[in-house]
Amino acid sequence: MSKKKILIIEDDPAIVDSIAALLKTDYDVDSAKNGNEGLEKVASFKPELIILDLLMPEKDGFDVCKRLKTDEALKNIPVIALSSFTELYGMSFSGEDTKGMLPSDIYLSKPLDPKTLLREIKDHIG
Amino acid sequence: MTSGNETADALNDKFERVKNTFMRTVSHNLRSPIAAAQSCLRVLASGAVTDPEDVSKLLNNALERGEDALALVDDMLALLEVRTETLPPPAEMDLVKAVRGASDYFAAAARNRQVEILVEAPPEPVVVCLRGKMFVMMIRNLIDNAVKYSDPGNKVMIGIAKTGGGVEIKTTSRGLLIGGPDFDNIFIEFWRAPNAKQYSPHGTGLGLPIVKTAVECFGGSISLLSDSENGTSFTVSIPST
Repeated sequence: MSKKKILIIEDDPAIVDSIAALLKTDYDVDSAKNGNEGLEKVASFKPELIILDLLMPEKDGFDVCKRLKTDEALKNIPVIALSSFTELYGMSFSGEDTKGMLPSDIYLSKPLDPKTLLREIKDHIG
Repeated sequence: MTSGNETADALNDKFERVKNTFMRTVSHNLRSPIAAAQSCLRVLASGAVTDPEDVSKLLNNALERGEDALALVDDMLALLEVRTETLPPPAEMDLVKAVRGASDYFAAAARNRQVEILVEAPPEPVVVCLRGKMFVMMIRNLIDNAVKYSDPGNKVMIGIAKTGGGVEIKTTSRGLLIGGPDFDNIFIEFWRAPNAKQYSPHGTGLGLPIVKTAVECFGGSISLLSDSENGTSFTVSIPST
């Protein structure tokens, strides 16, 4: 059985390396270092799940997420948003009260918690 | 309530806002490298990564990002030092010797980047009365930037010339260009040119604010030229008195 595909859109190579090392045994992993490259890879790599950094140069994660969630063909790809910021633009994405304000399926803050990341991936794509 | 009190209240409010913005920026800039290093270490500690190549890569990444956080703290302390002028008092120093020393300091980094540093200076000493440590911080930051943001295979030129009223020091590199709209931003704390990450993924955004503060302390001025024909040049003018 072929491995499920995960695309990491993240400009920090240290974060990309750590996620890729964590997932590569069980998943087919590719990465892109900014939003524009990420959207190109969504089209070519056809991931089943996307891990998306929110603050990146050029096109940021907010724009990428909105673009994905408003595209009929892509809106069902689960998106896990990542950020170093526990609070952004005055909104705490980790709180229940703000759930859904960011159009990603789940929001995780950095540093990564490997157990939580693996569990969320399994919950969404198995 | 008097107008004097209102003015004092307004100033206090402004000070609080500036202080809070600065603290937020510093916290976020420190949090990024620490969170990246911690992410690598957490993945390693989870035991899920066993490939020796991956283990080594994650350990090196953690070390590197830890060093980024340290560099940010060091630069903030350096900026504080030059701003509060707690450095040793001015004394006569030979700028040619100081610039050559700073150039030697970056020789290994330049070799790694496949860049050559050339110093063009008068054969005789150029003696000026300055805060020596502040000058060294200034010139090191200028050379560091010139090397980091050069395209491989190019030369970093550092010129020292006596002028009518003092000394001019010019660094020129070929690589990263700074667009006109960004000229006003480069001396703002923590600001990095949008294309800077392509050359050097990690930077504190404090190097040029340190340079500018030092130049102002010397009573001098700094100017920037950046275009595809001539490269990027910073020219520092320091009066002799």
